[in-house]
Amino acid sequence: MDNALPLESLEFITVRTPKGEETYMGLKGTYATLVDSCCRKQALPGFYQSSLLVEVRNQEQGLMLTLSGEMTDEEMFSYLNVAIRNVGGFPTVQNTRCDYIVEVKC
Amino acid sequence: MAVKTAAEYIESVKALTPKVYVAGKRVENMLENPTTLSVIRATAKVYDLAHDPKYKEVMVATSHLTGEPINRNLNVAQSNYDLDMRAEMALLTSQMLGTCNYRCVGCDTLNALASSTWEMDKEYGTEYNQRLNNFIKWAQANDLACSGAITDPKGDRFKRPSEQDDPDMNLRVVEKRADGIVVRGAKVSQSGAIGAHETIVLPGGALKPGEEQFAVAFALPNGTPGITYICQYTPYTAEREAAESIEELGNPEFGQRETSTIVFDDVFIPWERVFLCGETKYCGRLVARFAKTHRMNCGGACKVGYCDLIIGACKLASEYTGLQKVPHIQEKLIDMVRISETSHACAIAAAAKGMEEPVGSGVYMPDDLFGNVAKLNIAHGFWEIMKMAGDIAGGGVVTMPSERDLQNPEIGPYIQKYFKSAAPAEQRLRVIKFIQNWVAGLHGAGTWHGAGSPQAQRVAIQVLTDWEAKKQLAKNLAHIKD
Repeated sequence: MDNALPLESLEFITVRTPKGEETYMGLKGTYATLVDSCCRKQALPGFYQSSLLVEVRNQEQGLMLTLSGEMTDEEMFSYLNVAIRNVGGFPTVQNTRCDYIVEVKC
Repeated sequence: MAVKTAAEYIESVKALTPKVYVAGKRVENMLENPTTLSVIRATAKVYDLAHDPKYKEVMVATSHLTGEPINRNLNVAQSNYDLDMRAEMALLTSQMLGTCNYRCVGCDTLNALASSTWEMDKEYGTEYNQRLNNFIKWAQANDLACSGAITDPKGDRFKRPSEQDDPDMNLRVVEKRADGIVVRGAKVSQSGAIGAHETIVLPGGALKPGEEQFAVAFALPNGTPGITYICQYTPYTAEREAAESIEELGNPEFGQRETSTIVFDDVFIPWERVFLCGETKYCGRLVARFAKTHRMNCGGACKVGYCDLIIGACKLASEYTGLQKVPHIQEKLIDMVRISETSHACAIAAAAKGMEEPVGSGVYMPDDLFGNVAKLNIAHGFWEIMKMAGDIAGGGVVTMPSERDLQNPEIGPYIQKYFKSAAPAEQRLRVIKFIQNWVAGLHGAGTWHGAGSPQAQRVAIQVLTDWEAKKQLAKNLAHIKD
């Protein structure tokens, strides 16, 4: 028995809006799936209207996403919450580790 | 959090927005569409059972990876007892739902992968087994509902996958990248995938060298971009959509079995979730291990649970009509039990005679012959049971008015008057409607083809049976010399 899930098999994604941040935990590869969706498929996971994602930029430690329209921080978080859950990540209160940062603006 | 409650499961799927279609229309909210809701209700009930002290022994196991209590739907069998409890879970969930445990196929795919990835790693030095164990730990820690996807559309069945005019007739890898693979194709007849968190995909069958692009197994979250679910649509779907109250339906809460076709439109899978990629030699073995596990559970336990429901309803129907002492009805009920319990006995035997496979892997697989006999027996027996159920329930099974007529103030009194027998009209109509759900429903053909059509079991039995040994026994007693 090799006990708990090894930390190296997990990854932690911080979603940052202009006013706050939240952390998600997923199996390794969760971030790659998010990136593939945003960059190759030009879509935020779980949302099927092509106009939602206006711009995607790769940054040093993650992604910069620009969503269409005027949104509050709360609305941006709710979009990203759905997106990351749809690719297998879950919110976590653990905030000491951050492997990737997804900055969101509109 | 390791064993989720029904409420926690429902909360977790609220945030998921897979691309689901029913009858050509996009389902925006799976909790509002009557068809998708029936799948979620059924899956929630499976979560619920794990928290009922009466069923804990069956529904909760101990993880061989972490030592933590887990839902048995995520357990990898480590003993004959585990196999027995796995089959008991299939029996229990069918009895409680009258439809699929939509986590069932996922469970059997994980077991087949646990065995085969261990063996592949030994031969090739790959790291599939560690990846799978990480995935299983993750799924166990979050008690994820996993469905399974195996059957490809296949196209022209006379041609091999690589000979098809359209190569997408079998799910395949179209791109290999540093961070993962991209797959294209479809999987059909997938039970309940829409209500699951994850789908475990296996190749559709044995493959040969040269067919590496089709040799792929992986897990993916159900909302992964590029996935589309096109749900089955049947008269029962239409009936559910049209119902003013679920009380009008034969299986009010959980419905008939709901499946979908899953389309993979260039879907990215990170390497961490890939458990086989290109190893054609292991595809047949992997699918055979899935089949033997699933045939024990489907044929010898799940459908036996359905039979228990049908037999119980027929006994009630005979009492409601005052025919319970009629000899031919009693004989038919006994025959139904004989057929059903013969398959059940085969599942118990398959679990008891199961063995570690491969030796050293720690993974237990059921006895192949008994598993196949269980499934083949029930494939034929289920039709027989439904024939007898239709006989006992009478013509009302196809001519009955609806519950809505009973509730209508103008014609309701007629229904109460003329459908009353030894029991009030409401009870009689409900039991007949319940039997209609089976006898005139989808489960006959579903039982025939589910876990592989009978011809697949016949081929397996042909290969697994030691014909020479049987011939020698006959020769010995008959004094036949070569």
